[in-house]
Amino acid sequence: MAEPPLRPRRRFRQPSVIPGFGLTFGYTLTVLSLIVLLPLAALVLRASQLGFAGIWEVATDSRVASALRVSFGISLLAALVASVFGFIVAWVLTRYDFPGRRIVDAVVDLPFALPTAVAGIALAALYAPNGLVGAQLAKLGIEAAYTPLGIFIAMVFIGLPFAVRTVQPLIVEIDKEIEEASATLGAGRWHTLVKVVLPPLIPAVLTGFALAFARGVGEYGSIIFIAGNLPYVSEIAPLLIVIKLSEFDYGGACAIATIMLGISFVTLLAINLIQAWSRRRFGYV
Amino acid sequence: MGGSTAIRVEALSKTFDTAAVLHDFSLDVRAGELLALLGPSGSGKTTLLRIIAGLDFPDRGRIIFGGDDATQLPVQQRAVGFVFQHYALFKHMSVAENIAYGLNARRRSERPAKAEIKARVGDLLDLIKLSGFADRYPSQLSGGQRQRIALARALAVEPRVLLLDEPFGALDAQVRKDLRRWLREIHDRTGQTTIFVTHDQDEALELSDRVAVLDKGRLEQVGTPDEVQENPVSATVLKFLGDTIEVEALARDGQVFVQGRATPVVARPGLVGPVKLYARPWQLQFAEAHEAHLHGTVRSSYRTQGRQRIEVDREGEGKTVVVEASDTARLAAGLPVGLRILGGYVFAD
Amino acid sequence: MSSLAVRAPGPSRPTSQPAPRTASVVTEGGFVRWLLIAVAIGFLALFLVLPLVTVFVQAFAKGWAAYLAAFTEADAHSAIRLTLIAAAIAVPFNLVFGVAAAWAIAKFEFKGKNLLVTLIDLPFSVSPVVSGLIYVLVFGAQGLIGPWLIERDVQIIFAIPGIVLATIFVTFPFVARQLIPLMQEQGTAEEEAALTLGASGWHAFRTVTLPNIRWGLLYSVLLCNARAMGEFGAVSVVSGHIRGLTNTLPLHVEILYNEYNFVAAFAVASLLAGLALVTLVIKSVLEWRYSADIAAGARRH
Repeated sequence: MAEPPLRPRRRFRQPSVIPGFGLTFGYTLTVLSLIVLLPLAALVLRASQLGFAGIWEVATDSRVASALRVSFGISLLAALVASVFGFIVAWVLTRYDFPGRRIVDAVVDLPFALPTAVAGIALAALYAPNGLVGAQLAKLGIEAAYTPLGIFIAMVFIGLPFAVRTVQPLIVEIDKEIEEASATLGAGRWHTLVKVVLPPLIPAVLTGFALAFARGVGEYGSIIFIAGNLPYVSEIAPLLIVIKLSEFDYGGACAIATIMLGISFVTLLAINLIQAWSRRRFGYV
Repeated sequence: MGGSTAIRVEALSKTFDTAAVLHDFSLDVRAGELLALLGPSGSGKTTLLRIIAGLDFPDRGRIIFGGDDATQLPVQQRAVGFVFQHYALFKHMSVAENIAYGLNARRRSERPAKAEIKARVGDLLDLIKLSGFADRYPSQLSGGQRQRIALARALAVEPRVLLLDEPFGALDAQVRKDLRRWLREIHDRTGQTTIFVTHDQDEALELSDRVAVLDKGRLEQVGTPDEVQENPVSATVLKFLGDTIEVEALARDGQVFVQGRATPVVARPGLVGPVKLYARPWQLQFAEAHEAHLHGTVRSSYRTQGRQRIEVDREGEGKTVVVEASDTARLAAGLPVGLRILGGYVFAD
Repeated sequence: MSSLAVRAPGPSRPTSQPAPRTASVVTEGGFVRWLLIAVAIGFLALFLVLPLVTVFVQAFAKGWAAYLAAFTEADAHSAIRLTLIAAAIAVPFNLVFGVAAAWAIAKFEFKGKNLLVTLIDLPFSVSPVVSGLIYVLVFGAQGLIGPWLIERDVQIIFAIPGIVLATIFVTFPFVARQLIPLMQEQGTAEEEAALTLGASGWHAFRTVTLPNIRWGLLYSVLLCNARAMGEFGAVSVVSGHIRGLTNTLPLHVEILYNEYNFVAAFAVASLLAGLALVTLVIKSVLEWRYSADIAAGARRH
């Protein structure tokens, strides 16, 4: 009997007795390519036809530039606020017991579940000068609806669950013994929190911040109703894409989309780096 | 024992990525025997078991079941009963459904009638002494009970061979002991060819008809528990089977000398020059300085299961050896002592 | 309870004085605790609950009759129909994809696995508007294969297929990303056990894998469906807003709102908000009862 050949040592896949790899892997790759990769490639193709100079030209157009500034600037701010309050919410939900805790916990996911257009018109109605909150703010001389402040409010709404849900599981995981250890070593509660409890949570807070930021930059439905959409003031980048498209300015739309996609990827990369760092430093994500 | 060969493992080699886990490995398993695959973790024993089952694939070599080449046979057709280390019971199925799974998975034409399956499940539950548990779910059972269910599930398909991967690894010490005895009883009753993987030498020596000692993907030795204990073929086997003391020695004319003094240990013909002598703790005895092979001071002593174990720091070598004695009074730490070698094994350096 | 246990046996005090309260070392003082709870609940009430309540308040602002009138319109009916159609195609599509992808990724070891997972996640990090745009670039009149298709009378953009495609895209990762960690955690031992007992691959999948992932599957399908029915940005770009033809419910809300028909807009919105509430309730119930069967790493009680 002939000796069976030695299989190559480096293989694409570890052999396994579980069946169905070829079928499911092939199907996954095909569908992923058709639905996600090829259409995205179409955008990249279109953008490459414009070239870097073409994209730069669109980006530096004053209306586009101000829309990008509005989108990125306000979503940074909104992500910051969402992260701070998100941390408090996550802390309260995991550490304290109070009546209705589970309901409050469920409410956090509302922005995930509520269609953005519904959230948008509700926020607009609420913060309009004649709205429930808007009227109170108007008394203080603050205009929320149809200003950048309205955009900020919508972005906080949309980003909050990301901030809460990325930190929450890690707060659950904190071993109370380390806090007790800190206390037995003479540290006060505040010292324990700042020096022992918070540092391992920082990567998660950063990840939540990045997710909320990315979501805010791309958000459309919940913002356009409250934003007022005044060019140079409260016009967001995604809306400008829609406007360019309706003017059949595909090149302009692609240029803005490419810039936004680029920022998304940078954010995604940042998240991955944070998590890789966290895994090395703390042994978990 | 000495039945016919049930399974032949022939020149098996297997690598994972770049690390070799089995080298040119051959082994015959006799029909009806209870064989232990014993080795440290990473010795390839579990991989070997999985290859026999058809759950893993060798790079080269063959698996022969009763004369038929089964290397290419898919796992479903090998008719093996595999008991997983963590049981792998189906959580969402009752005990009875778990046990009947293999029968129900058969094609309609080969599937036994419902009543027959039910009877078989009942018999197996009797065999594993869990008769009242048919409708329980795995999460409602203790570890030992789950292990027995896993065994019954494997036996239900009437396998050619029963393969157990660290069957008692996840259990408490006392449960392990009970299950060991119980597995031996089941084996004696059914005569089922059985291979089990373990890293616990006591388990292997107590339970099996033969022990195959593996190290780094190679078969070091296979034999009855007595054979491997009395005639270990290598220092690896010897060390793996229990505590040993390692002493530099010299072989000459079939005799072995330690520090110029003759020992009762006999060297194989041809083994000449510097060698290593290995002795068990009970093959050492306290002796007067002029009779002693080793010198040192007592570090500590403690009593365990009726015997006294004394740790002795060896003079000049900085090594600690353990001596076992049954009738020694507790020795004070720091006491200088001499040790005489009463027996042991020598292997080339 | 523990506050009493750790009370220090200091010098004797007058017995009339109450025992000193010693705070637990692993939580904050009572005042801080209640302050934080108040901040958290107040913030959530203002930012999340109030908008939700507003939807229903506005919808019923002019009473039941006006509310119900919003649903008698033919346009509303067709919007409901189209939303259901889009979800009825997109959700099963992503269900099949998610299970297949999770099987390949969780049960096997192969090179480039992390890249594949990242690519599957991609639609979550793309702006909804961009998600719509890329399909316009492929199938639109100026798109890559759009002209070729239009010549053959195949309309994708500004038509139902475009809406379905955009919906599939934005909900693409839901099922897969839920199932991958869950199936990875479950490992392959049970499937291997089934195979050694003679089960075929398909039989093992049906009788062992599927029951093990059923709650996680239901959970992800629920979220996938909520997003599919509620998607606005991506669908808005590819729909063309043709009333009665390519309007989904969220788009219908926008049109009504822009026409200052607020009661009708909020009435239709309340339908979607109701869907969101039902989703949240079922989701929470699933989390409370089957947390370990839904997500990897969930703690068993």
